Amino acid sequence: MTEVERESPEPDGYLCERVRRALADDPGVGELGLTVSIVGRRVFVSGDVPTPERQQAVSSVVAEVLPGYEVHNDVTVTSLAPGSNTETLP
Amino acid sequence: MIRVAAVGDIHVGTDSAGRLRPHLERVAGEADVLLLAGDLTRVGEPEEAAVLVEELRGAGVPVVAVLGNHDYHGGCEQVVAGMLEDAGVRVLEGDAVVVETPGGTVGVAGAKGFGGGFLGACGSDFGEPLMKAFVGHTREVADGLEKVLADVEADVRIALLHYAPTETTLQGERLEIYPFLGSYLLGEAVDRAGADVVLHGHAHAGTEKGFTPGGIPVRNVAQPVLRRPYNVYCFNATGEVGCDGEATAARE
Repeated sequence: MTEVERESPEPDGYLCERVRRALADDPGVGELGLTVSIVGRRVFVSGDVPTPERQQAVSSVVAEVLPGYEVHNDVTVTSLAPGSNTETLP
Repeated sequence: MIRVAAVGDIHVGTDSAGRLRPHLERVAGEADVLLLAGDLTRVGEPEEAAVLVEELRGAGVPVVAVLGNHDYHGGCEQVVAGMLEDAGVRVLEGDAVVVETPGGTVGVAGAKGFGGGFLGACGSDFGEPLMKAFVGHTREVADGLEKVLADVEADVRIALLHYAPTETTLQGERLEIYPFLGSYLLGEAVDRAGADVVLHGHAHAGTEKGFTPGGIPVRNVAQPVLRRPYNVYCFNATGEVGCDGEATAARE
């Protein structure tokens, strides 16, 4: 392998997985199901989390894993409609 | 009529205080028992379980739960289960409980469950020790669930899991992760023992309603699926008129 090939940037797919692992392992987030995509130097994270604190923590986790990337935190806080649905089962 | 409230995947953390309790304080007016389908805490830390216990104090009805994979992540699942039990929550793992309600008895057999995949696309207990351990664990859990569920005598019989017993409630999840979301062995166990419904969580992007290969109704009650604090499932155990099927409006 040439020196240029060894210096090739890490494929985006691997970078996405590093971000996903960090979001799962971070004590402020702890979420497995977030979707991470990279387009150029932009990172997009989407999905639902239960609290605003965890939503906000996503940005700093991503920035730590991928410094210099533009973070788009599209994560939303799970919105619960009031009341419950009822169903009668046979 | 027997009314069962159910939800899973509430992922309570130290940042969650006060978010769920106002909703749970309405449970006693709508249901006779509350079932929790695992992933009750963010990562299974005792501090999170302490917040969870306070949130659940508002329920006002018997609470029966199973743990989920998140509740095991911190390595303190026994502590978490113990804190819930001390607070009056019945935590099931390969065992069952019968709850008396005004309308009759509700028997719940519960287990977290595990993965492995579904009919035609599942792992086998073959090959490396770790692979055998993975599938073997699910088989062991399923066999245990079948035994305890078969022995449950109650007007309404429910299997409570975290992992899915069928892929019919996983539509919306990526196919590639189905083996990590549940196992057909769990569904087979329930079909052999018989039940009125199977409740599970774990699959946040799945769908609520499904069925086992044997035709038993399955409900994915993960909170991100329900998008409500909980749902209520009614059973006409005594021949009375059931719930009207309309969404219960938030009471002032």
